[in-house]
Amino acid sequence: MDNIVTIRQLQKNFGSTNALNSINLNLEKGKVYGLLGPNASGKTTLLKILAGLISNYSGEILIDGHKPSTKTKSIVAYLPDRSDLYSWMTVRETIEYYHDFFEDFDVQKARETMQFMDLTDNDVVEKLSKGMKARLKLALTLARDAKLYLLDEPFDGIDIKTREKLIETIINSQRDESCMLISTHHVNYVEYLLEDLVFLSKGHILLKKNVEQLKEENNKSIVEMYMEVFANA
Amino acid sequence: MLKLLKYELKSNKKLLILGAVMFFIFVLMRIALTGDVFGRANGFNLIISTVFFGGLPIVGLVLYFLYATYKIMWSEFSRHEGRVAFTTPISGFVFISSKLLAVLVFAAISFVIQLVLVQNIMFTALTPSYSILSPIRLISQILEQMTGSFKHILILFISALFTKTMGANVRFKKSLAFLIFIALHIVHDLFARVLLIFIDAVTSFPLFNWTFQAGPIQLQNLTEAGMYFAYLVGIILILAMTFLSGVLIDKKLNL
Repeated sequence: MDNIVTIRQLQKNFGSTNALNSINLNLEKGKVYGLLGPNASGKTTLLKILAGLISNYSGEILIDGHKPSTKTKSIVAYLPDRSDLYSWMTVRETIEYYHDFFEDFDVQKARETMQFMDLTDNDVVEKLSKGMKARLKLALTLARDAKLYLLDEPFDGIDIKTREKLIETIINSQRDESCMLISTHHVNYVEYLLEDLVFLSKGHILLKKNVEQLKEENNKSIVEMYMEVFANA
Repeated sequence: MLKLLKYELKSNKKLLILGAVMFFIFVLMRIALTGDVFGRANGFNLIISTVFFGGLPIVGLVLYFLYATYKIMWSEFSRHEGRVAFTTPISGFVFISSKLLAVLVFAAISFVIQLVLVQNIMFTALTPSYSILSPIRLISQILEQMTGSFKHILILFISALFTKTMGANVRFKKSLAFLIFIALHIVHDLFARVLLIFIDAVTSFPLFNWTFQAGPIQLQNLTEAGMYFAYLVGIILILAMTFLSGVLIDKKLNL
């Protein structure tokens, strides 16, 4: 399979803190990856680097053959762990904004997803609850026909009903030509979504394996594996 | 760039409305003054007139412009809101240029109100013989203030940008940013002095008389050729600093 992301010897420090240390990773098209790890393991930093929000690092990264830049931002859809939309905008204006700046944005798909997620055009972003903001952001991100989706903690602070809707939307959005990297520490929510797992701890990759292979080899669930791997990390 | 400008102006529509209200108030004051409602000022009235018709509105306009500039230039850097802009396929140069265009709108509001209305109100109150600024004088004052303001804004912006790019992980980054701000001002000031003296554009100017403002780029110190040259150098410096800001955002961003 083709690699959409190639990472070689990636290193990122915040002052004296080593956020990412000698990361080597390939991500293939058509797969959903789980980036799992406890808090402060480097998940968000890795996603921010791939999204182009952090350009200050050492090592080599290629996204579809290009270094992270303005060009790669047109094929990367990023969902941050905190709302980054303008709070004064209405839901309709956020759709216009995405339509104005992302050529791969599908307005019709966004409208359908928003309807499915009970969002209405005239809702103002700053007045939406945390769960509704998560729905809006996910609907906007997944309405793009991107080659790489980066979802940072998409299930943080949201109720079960919303979570089920988000998962259903993610499943419906997955295509053969795109790759999805989902960062989370809620392993149990995403277990059946993922094909490959990347376990990250203190800036190091501890393990990268296929989910089914991992289950067969160890005869354990992903949650049990997670507990085992991070028990000594 | 125009799309980004549209969202910048929408983001700041409340400030634009405030600007329009101020403009309306000053127009009313001007009309009232023309109708000789306030009369001609002298003695105690002179102080009152100066404060109310000149001082307060000018201070208000300067604060209005400074706040609008800070909000436009720094909002996406200081908080998470609006950071979606950095994930769009827009170059740093276009991003900053659109912000500067938005600042230009607020600068136009502030400077036009200040130069056309407030100064006229104040001078009419103080000096009965005062007449409205000539168009050339008005344009050159606006150009002088615009280029001057934009250079200071960009020097401040680049210094602050250090804390979100190359210096994001450095200890005492804010102190370093302040030192960069001072250093850039000194370099800019020296550059302007040397250039203007080199082209023999200065009529009378003490070279080593340091002031915080870029001394030589003041109309009274320059020949006519020097004045236009100063505007040209100012515009080139603005473009160079905008380009540098764009490169820092594209290559060294650290949010």
